[in-house]
Amino acid sequence: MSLLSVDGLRTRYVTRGRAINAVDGVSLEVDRGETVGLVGESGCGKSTLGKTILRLLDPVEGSIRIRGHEIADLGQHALMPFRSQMQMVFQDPFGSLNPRQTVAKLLTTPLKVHGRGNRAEQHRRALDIISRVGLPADALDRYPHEFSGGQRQRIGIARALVLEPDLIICDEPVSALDLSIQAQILNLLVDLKRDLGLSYLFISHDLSVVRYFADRVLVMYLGRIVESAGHAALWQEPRHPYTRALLAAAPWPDPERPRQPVALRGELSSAASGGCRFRARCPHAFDRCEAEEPVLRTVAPGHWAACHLA
Amino acid sequence: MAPLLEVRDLAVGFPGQVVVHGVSFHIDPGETLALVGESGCGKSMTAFALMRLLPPTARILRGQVLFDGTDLVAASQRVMRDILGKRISLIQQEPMTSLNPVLTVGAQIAEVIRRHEPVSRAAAHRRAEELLDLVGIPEPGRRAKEFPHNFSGGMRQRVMVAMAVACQPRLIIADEPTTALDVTIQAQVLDLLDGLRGQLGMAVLLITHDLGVVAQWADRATVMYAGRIVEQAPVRPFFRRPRHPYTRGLLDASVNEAGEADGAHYTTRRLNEISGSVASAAAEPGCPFAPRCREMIQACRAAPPALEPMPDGSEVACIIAARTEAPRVAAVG
Repeated sequence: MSLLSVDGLRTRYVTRGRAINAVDGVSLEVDRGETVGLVGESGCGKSTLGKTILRLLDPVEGSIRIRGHEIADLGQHALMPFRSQMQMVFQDPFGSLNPRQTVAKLLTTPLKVHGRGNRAEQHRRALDIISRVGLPADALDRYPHEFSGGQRQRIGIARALVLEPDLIICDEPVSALDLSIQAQILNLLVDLKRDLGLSYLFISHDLSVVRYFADRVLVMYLGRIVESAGHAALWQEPRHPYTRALLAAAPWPDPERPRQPVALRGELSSAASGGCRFRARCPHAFDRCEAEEPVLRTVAPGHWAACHLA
Repeated sequence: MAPLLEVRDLAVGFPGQVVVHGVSFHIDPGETLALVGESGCGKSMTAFALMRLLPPTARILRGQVLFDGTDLVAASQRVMRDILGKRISLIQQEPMTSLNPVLTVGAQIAEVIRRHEPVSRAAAHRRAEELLDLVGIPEPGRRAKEFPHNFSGGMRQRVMVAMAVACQPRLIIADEPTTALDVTIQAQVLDLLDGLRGQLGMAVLLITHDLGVVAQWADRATVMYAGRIVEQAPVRPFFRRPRHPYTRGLLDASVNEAGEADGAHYTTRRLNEISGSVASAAAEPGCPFAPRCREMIQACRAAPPALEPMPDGSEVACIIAARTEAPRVAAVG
């Protein structure tokens, strides 16, 4: 049984009477110990998907199962035990920590809310977790503004870990960090996964970071998964024209490697009704793409793509 | 060939704090120079000092900026106003905040043209439409009458490019022009800028933190760390043989290694970290990178090393790199 199993999930935003399905029928699984990368451009619905899985947003349709337990329709109280099994690391290490709380308070509050241990035990847990993320013990008595961006992201990771979750949803955890700090945080996440047996759903717009970090990769476009494959297969044999365009557009730090032309028109906009959502930008679109929306189908063992031509 | 822009020993500071410690570099006509570094390294401050567009409390402490024979540091406000927008123009990171939300994009482009050239209002509007066409905006006649909020992020950045090239400048300063854009749009905008550079014979100073962007779109790279230039080289030697331990560290910390065809994966290679943070440079009397450097020797802490030329045209500010290669420099002459 998968650790996380999502089926036919839809999340809707209503603005000025217009409804938009930001997540529009997504199914995915994350196995124990697995890192699943979710990649896509801004506005594709990847962050909304992450927040819906955590039930920070309510889905309008579909199922979210943690080890087989359905949580999509649970009330806040019934959700509590599942909340501690899934935690989130946010993009912005400045905006996601309360500036008026010490690190000790930031780390022990979740323990109090979930009734874990007495004060002394909570403090010991905070001490243990802060050293695990590579910060000194005296960090506990300080406030978020006393730390650099990279250190704050370590605090954010510590807070996500304090309840000993099985699954961490990382939403662009290194995008706000400088390159030299990015490597520190990615290495830390790799170590924590190995030591604590964590699973990650790793959301990013940065293909090269996902390439490094994920075991399996999902490519999302306008609310749908358009391709799903093992990390090696996705880079070597991308099947969806959108995935191919993303790969071609990513600049490679090697001036001697010729850049591939990006055969992609226009920009991501709202989906045209009916047919393939990508067809307006696709260099290969033909009649069928307008008539019929492609569904994810197996194109090779362990490799799925939603394209009539894949 | 005389350089288009020559910066000599430029230093910039806020009261009580120096943020750019005497940088020297040049830009040749028609080339793209990438100014690279992490946040707070002084790259944007350097670029804004060239245009004399510093924040109110910042000052140019010393140095010269020679542009086509004029020292911009000593130039009057009046001279600067004639140069900016006409011979040097700027493209900023955030196209939404650099466009006026209550004017049509056509009017904003026409305003730049009318400021610098004696043309009629109607002629300036016609030019604005031609420029929108030049930067690949479909239906330029109709789009010129629309407001910035009617455009997507990528299209707004195209409008900024149109405005920047309106008076055929000799130099465009692009400050992280695609950082706010998606990767597919980034490629479109940088290709556009690169194409226009060739077509209109402009030089580009491209400020970026992205080494991939440097490799694909720049001719030369200048790396800054803690307010100093640590390495400067044409892109091929820069990526083939980075000399400064900081540059090497950055390239090794990248998840895309140049040598690996498909990039690294966490199961097979651990990323190389640069330990510590840039904050350690503040109190350092010697090389600003010494507190984080694995190869640091005692001599590094005496004084900041100067940029030394290497045999292949690179320049590096590292006494260890200079010592290793110095004999060969002497032999070459």
